[in-house]
Formats: sequence, C-alpha cells, structure tokens
Amino acid sequence: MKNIYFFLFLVFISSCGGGGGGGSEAVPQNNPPTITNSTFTFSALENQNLAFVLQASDPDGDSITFQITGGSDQSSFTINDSGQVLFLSSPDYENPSDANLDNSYEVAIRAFDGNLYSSSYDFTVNITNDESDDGSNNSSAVCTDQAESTSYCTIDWDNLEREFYVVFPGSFSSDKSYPLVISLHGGADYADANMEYTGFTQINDQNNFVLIFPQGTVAEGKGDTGWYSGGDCSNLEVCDISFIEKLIDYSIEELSINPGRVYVSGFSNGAFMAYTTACFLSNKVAAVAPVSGSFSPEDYDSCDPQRPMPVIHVHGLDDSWIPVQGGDYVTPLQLVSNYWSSFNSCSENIIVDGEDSNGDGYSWYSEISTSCQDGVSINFTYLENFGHSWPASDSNKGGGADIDGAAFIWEFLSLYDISGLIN
Amino acid sequence: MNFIKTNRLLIGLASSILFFSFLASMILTSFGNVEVKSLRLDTDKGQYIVYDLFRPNSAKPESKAPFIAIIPGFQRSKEALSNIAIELSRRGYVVALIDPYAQGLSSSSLSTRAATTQGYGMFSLVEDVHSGAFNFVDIDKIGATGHSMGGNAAIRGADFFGKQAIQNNTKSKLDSVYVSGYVLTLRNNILRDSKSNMGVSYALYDEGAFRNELTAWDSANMIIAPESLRTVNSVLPKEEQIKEVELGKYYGSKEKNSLRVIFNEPVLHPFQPYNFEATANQLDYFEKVFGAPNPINSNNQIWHWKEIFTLINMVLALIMLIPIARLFLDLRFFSSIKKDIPAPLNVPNGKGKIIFWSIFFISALIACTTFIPMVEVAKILFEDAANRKLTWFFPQRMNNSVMLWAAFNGLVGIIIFSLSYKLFGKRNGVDTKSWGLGINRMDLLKTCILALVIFATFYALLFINYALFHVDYRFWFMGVRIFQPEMLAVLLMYLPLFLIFFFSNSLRVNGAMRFKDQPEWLSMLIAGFANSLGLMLIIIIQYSVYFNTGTVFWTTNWLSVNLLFGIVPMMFILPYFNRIFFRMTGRVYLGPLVTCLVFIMILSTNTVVYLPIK
Repeated sequence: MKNIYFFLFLVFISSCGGGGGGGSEAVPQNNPPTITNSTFTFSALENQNLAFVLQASDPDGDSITFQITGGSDQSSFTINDSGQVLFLSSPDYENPSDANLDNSYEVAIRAFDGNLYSSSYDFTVNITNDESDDGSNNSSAVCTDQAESTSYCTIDWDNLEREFYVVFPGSFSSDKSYPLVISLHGGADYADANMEYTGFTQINDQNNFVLIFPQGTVAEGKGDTGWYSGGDCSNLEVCDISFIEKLIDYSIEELSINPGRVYVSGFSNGAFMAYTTACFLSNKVAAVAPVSGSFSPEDYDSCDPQRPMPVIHVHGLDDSWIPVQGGDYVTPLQLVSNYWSSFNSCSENIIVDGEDSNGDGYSWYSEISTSCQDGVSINFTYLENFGHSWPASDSNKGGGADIDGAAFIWEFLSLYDISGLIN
Repeated sequence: MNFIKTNRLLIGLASSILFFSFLASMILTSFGNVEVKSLRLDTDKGQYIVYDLFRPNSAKPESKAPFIAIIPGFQRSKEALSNIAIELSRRGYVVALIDPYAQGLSSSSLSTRAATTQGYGMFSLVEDVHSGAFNFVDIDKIGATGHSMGGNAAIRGADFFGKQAIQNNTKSKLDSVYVSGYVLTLRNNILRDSKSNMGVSYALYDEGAFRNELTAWDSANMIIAPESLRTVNSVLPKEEQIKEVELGKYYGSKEKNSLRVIFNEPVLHPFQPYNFEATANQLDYFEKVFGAPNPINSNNQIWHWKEIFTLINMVLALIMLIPIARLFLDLRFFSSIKKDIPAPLNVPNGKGKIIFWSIFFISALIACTTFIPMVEVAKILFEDAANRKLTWFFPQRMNNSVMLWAAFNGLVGIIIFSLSYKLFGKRNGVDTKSWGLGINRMDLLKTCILALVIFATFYALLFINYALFHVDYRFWFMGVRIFQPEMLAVLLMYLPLFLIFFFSNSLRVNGAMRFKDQPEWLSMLIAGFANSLGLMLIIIIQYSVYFNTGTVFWTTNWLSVNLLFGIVPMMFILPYFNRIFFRMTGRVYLGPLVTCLVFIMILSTNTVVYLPIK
C-alpha cells in the first residue's frame, strides 16, 4: 500500500513539474487547437466512404492534423489530409459491421497542431439505407390467380419473400380507382383464414373496394406467424411497417387504388399492427379498424400521427386474451380511446346502444367521439358476452355476434378519406 | 496403494465412465467403421460453425458417398441428434452433424433470422461440400435434415438452393431434404421454388401444432393438414391433386427432384427424434432418394445403445462428485472444512406437521405460478438477449427466465424458512445450530476453493473423456457437454443469482427437512419433490390441457415449458447432493456451491447464447 502512495506522490510531483522554474527568456505561448464541428452525430448513406468532414481551428494559426484516439469502431475509419473522415470499407446497411451491429459507428478524434492536442471528441455516424441497392426490395409482386377475383402474390421485401392475397370486386376495371382495405390476421394465424372469417370478401363486391390480405412471417423470435408492431424497426427481426407501406405503394401503382382511400383493419395481433399504421403511416392510411387488439405500450408512447385519424375499434367485453382493461403489453382501451379523441381534438362524446340481434340476451354499445378535427370520429364498440373472436353475425363462422364486423367496419371506413370526412 | 484403497469408489467410477464411453464410441463409429471428428467451417464475417463429420470407411474418392447435413433444433447442440447421424453413417452416408449458430460450439449469427437466411450455417456447409471440399462425397447427392427449427432450416435450404437453381438454370445443390417437426414454412412460395425432394415427418402429438393452420387435434393431423396437402399438391398436376394425404406414400418424381412423402408418428414434439418409427421413416426416405451405399433394414437401429451408455455415464459422473469431494477434503488444506454434523430436528407432529406440509405445498405453488411470469419479466430486463442481439450482458435468453425464477424462489424459500423459525420453530425449541450455518471466513473461502476444484476436476474428466472417445455424458437432449472458454465468463455471470436458489435449497433441505429417526431415503424423496414439484406442476398442467383439448395451456411460452424437461430432473436430484455434501462437511455451503457450478454449466451449455462475434 505504501508503494501505491509513493507512486501517486511521484505522479503528483511530476504533473506539477511543468509549472516550476521561471526562465528568463520569454517563450511565445502556444494554444491548443479546437474541433469546431457544430454537431457530433452524422448520417451517412451506405455504400460510400465519406463519413463526415472535420472542422477545427487553432488560435495560433498552426496547421492542424487529426488523430483517431478511440471509439468502439475506430478500426473502421481513417482521416485524410483534408479532414475527411472516411470508412476504410464502405458500410453496408443490410450487413452492419460496427461493433454492436446497430449501424451506428462510434469514433473518438482529436486535433493536433504539431505541439498540442485538443480534447478528444466522440463522433457517431448513423448509416442510412439506400433502397436502390436493396435489389430484392425493388422487385415487383409476382401474382397467380387463385380463384375468381382472387390472386396469390409474393413480393421480395427486406430479404424476405412476403405473401399476400388480393381480392378484387367483380366489376373491377383498371380504368377506375378503388378504395383498399388491408386486413391483417392475428398471431399464429393465416391470411387465407382471415379472408374467410372476417367476411370482407362477402361485401367488397357490392361496395366496390379491393382487399389485400397480407401474410405475417414466421419470425424466428416469435416462433409463429404474426406481426411486429412498432414504427422503429431497429430492434425488430422483421420490419412489418415497411412491408405494409410497400404494399400500399404497390397497390397504388399497380392495382388502381385511390391513394386517399387506403384503410387498415386487423384482428388481435393484426389490430396492434393496424394501430402501428395509424401512428406511423398516417400520410398513407385514411382510417383504421382494429378488432380485439390494442396499442402496444411502445406505440402508445411513441405514436406520431401526422393528421387526424378516424378509428373504429371493436372488442368483446369478455376478451380474456386482450382484456379491455389492459394487461402485459396491452394498453387499456380507455387510454387508447382517450388518446385518439384527444389527438383528433374531438369535443363531443355519445354512447349508442345496439340491439341484441342474435337474441342471446346480450347486446352491444358504441362510445363515439365526434366533432373532431377534419370531421373524423372515433368509435369504440364493445360487444357484451363476446370473447376474443372476430365479430361475425353468422354463427357458422364461429362468431355469433350481434353485428357483422365486416359490414359494420366498412360502413365507418367508407365515410373517410385521407383528408377526413368525405363530403 | 493407500490412495487406491481410500479412493476405490472414485477410481471405479472413473474407470467405468471410460469403459462406457468406449462402448458409446463403438456405437458412434459403428464399431470402427466410421471416422468421427469435429471440424470448423468459417462462414462469413467472423461467423463459424462447428460440426462433427461422420465419414464411413467406405466413402473414398473412388467410391463417393452421398452427403447429409443434420441440423438440430432450437436449444439443441449437435450431440442431441447423434442418433440419426449414427444410423445414416453406418449405412454409408457421409454425415455432418452441425452445431447451429448460437448453440453448442458454433459462433453466434449476425442475423436474427439465422435459420431462415443461413439455415443455421447449413447453407454455407452445402456450398462448401458442393464446391468439392470432400473428395469422397458425391456432390450430386447432397441432402439435409433437421428437427424443429432445424427442420425449418432444411425447408429454407430447399427454397434457397431452389431459387439459386432457377436463377442459374441448374439442378439444386441441395438434392433432398427431410423435415422433422416443423411445417409452418411449408408455404406456397417456398414450395413453388423448392427444387429438392422433400420428406416431412410431423409428430401427431406435436404440442407446438397450435401454430399450424388447423386447430386442436386437426392441427397436427398430416392427413388433412393444409401444410402437408400443399407439400404434396405442389408437385402434382391439377387433375391429380389430393384432398387427403396417404401417409408414407411417395408422390412426385425423384428424377425431377419433386418427390414428396409425409409421415405422422404418434409422439410428442421433443421426443420425435428419439422415436424408432420416426428414425426408420427417415432412413427409408434417404434410402429412397439416394440409395444407401451400405443398405441395412431401417428397423435395425443401434443408436439407443449409445444413449444408454452415455446415460449411465451421466449418472456415474454426477455420483463421482462425491468421491472427488472426499478426495480433496482429505487434504490437509481442506480438512478444516469438515465439521461435525449438527443434530437433526425432531420429527414434527401436530401443528408442526401442518406447518411443514403447508410450506411444502405453498412453496410448490409459488414455484409453479412464478415461472411463466418470469419468462415475461426476463424479456423486459434482458432486452438484448430477448431480441437475440449479440451481447455480453446475460446472453442466454432462455436461461434468463430460469435464473430470475430461481433467484425469486430462492429468496422466497429463505424468507419462508426464516418466518417459520421466528413464528413457530423458535417457540418449539428448534436449535439454529442444526442448520449448519456457522462458519468462519477462512473456512468459507476454502469451501469456495474446494467447490471450484471439484468443478474443475469434474469437467477435466469430461474433456479427457471427450478427447479420447468423442462422447459426452447425456441422455437425448439432456447432456453434460464440453464448452468453449467464453462459457466460463457466462457461468460467472449467471452464478450469483442462481446461487440464491441453490443455497436456499441447501438451507431448507438440511435445516428444515432433516429429522431424527426419519429414514434418509424418505427425507430425500420429500426434499426432491419439494424442490421440483412446482415445475412438475407446470408440465402436468401444460400436458393435461393438451391431452384434453389438443392445444397446450401456455402457447406463447410453450418452448419455455419444454425447457423444463431438462430442468426438473436436475431440481429433483439437487437436494440429494445438498444433503450428501452437508453430511461430509456439517455445513450447508459446499453442496450449493458445487451443484450450482456444475448444474448451471450444464444448463448454459445446452441453450442458445448470443455472445458477440470476435
């Protein structure tokens, strides 16, 4: 222990050494350089070498060079004579090579004027995706006819071959423009089953809208089919929000879809995903219709819609999987309803009681927020004596609800486009 | 001579282990007709896989043999499927038995979709073999098979190499695949591009079938399941499409690489690879698509003998902990650890009996009801591992929940122990000396050192055994495995929280469950059940509901429940060790230290680990 004190004493003495001994000759004082970049976080497009350019000044006008002093990704960089910080090999967004593989490179740099060093500064370079190099993401959908008016399609996206079904109305003509309803299946569920149980295919003919039933992936982290809700894909195995956006873009370009009338519905896990689209694709989605789902807590905290969003939500009061009062990973529906009413600046609330149309002694009611911005409204409909199922009035489809979910939802959705209430 | 006399048991056990390992290696190598060695393939960006290559003596450059890659499922290392490797290699196939990425001795994967996009490393291996890495392999006859997630890797392989073949207008490099225990990705788009023959085997009682397209019992019925129908119909002309699959019937054409066959063995998911019928079906399939260089009837199987020998070794090796401890305790340095055994408690009666059994059942109930919630808590606390990001911070996502459960229940156990003493025991003359807690600092330090020495000796013998015979101690998927050096750091990370449970168990077993005049076997049996009943209940609930409804009780976390098949036996025998070590030292410390080190290393080496790539 004594040795440690002695060592520290020596260090202390030696560090004071510079201040000792006043000389008789005046030595011109040198000042250290300073790095003057106004920001230390940069974005750089993948596949290019330039990360950012360093700026520095020296009070004595000495010429400045730079040195890499640390950072978990220091070995990925070099600095040229012009102060350009370059990647030794250009980064690939799809295959990050930084230390923690999050496409965020960290490096510490200091300036040197030949005598003195500046402080060391920590820089972060976030790599952004250049979609033009995502060869597989640029391909168009490959479709085969499955049945009359129904196509089975695949499209390469995010290095996965994604599947979806398209159901056209009988009178479909590519010269016209159609509303689109995207219907998302639940967890451990399938698009073709969703096509059956939702009943949307029974009403799209007479109401002239196109349907898309996308298939969720079998994510290895989940182990079964489903959707990764959430607008930030950095922690997600599969970026489903970008897939849904791709589907919307594709359908507008290829399927004569009216860009102002794209709606998203979803059941259970698909309902969570529908809310994600309301939060993060509000510039492309006119209204959403989640059924038997909720906001994930993450979406609830980060939801960022850019315009008033009409919402119709249908839920069984006896749903034990996604309880009305919330639970793990489930935001209570009252909070969800309040969020949208508040966001849409709604000023009136009404309750509409429904009829017991199936005669089981139970009925339903809707809590509706109206007088909202752009004429939108929020409708939270609760079904008594009803669990975690899609509400189908046809009990043969396993529903036995007082309402026909598909018709009920369409009646609401069809009132709105991307600008709000259709006049 | 004296050493031999006093350590007869140790020498006997060590010799027996070597003997049974020799016998197991005889089975592994088909009595010397197959050479088995571990190889490493560096794949991409620092990733690598380790695999066991089974090369039959008949596979030579002048008589090339078909090649089959075997990919175990989630949470399984290569040794877990050595049975099918044994059976295939003794029939003349060259076999590569892979440690999937993030499992066994292989590196982590940079992708969170390692099975989907890399076949757990199998794609690289097939490319390597097809490019001529082994001059004794017929590169026109490359196949792959796997169980569960390994089956998914096989399906993805058919898709990956199928797409490659379409693009290059060539035959697929992966001629044939056999998929066991997985049908979720048998989708139209996958089957459309597959250019491989495909056999599918799915357990009729697969508890993971709730994820399939049909529900309840229909979900695993491969006669009517959409997954199996699609698999077959994808190669049949429209007019020949079927509505029900005939199990075991070969559809399509081998020459066109469109052969399809479906099997549906009546067995549970985790046990499917160890089922004779399922193994025979798989052997028949490869015989059909490749033709075995050394044909043997598929019902002629010997793999189970290896399982028996390595099971015996697992038992012997665990028993060997006792003489190892005795050996070192006899050294002067450690001898001060040995204390007199404190007097046991009086057998409880009346109120005491009620309290004893109430605690017994309450503890079991708490253990039962806290496991699944801890799975959820672990997802929040250990976010990186839960999202399969590479990390040094508790990188074993499946073990994290077990650790939390253990720490929580360990604490609860200590609290209940203390409360029962304060509220009841103290007033009824329970002497705290009977707990064996008293120890000075030096003896505690020596106890810790001794535990490390015992652990090191135990694993040193395993490593020697593995180096000599290429077998470890195991039964099916429950194995005492060798490990890479990084696992020691992982062990240190998990040790403290697990130790709470192990210590708590030792305290309860020796302080509250050791009674005068109670037969030791009964005392241990009660302690064994006390420690494992809660987790047993989870399995009982899961499978009672399953056998009544066709769907398991816990769906989202069904794999976590499956994990318990390996943990419950450990929990049952843990009190035995804690009691034996207590009797050796008169204190409650050595038992939990030794068992925690050994058991947690066993757990850690049998699960996924997302360590950063060097």
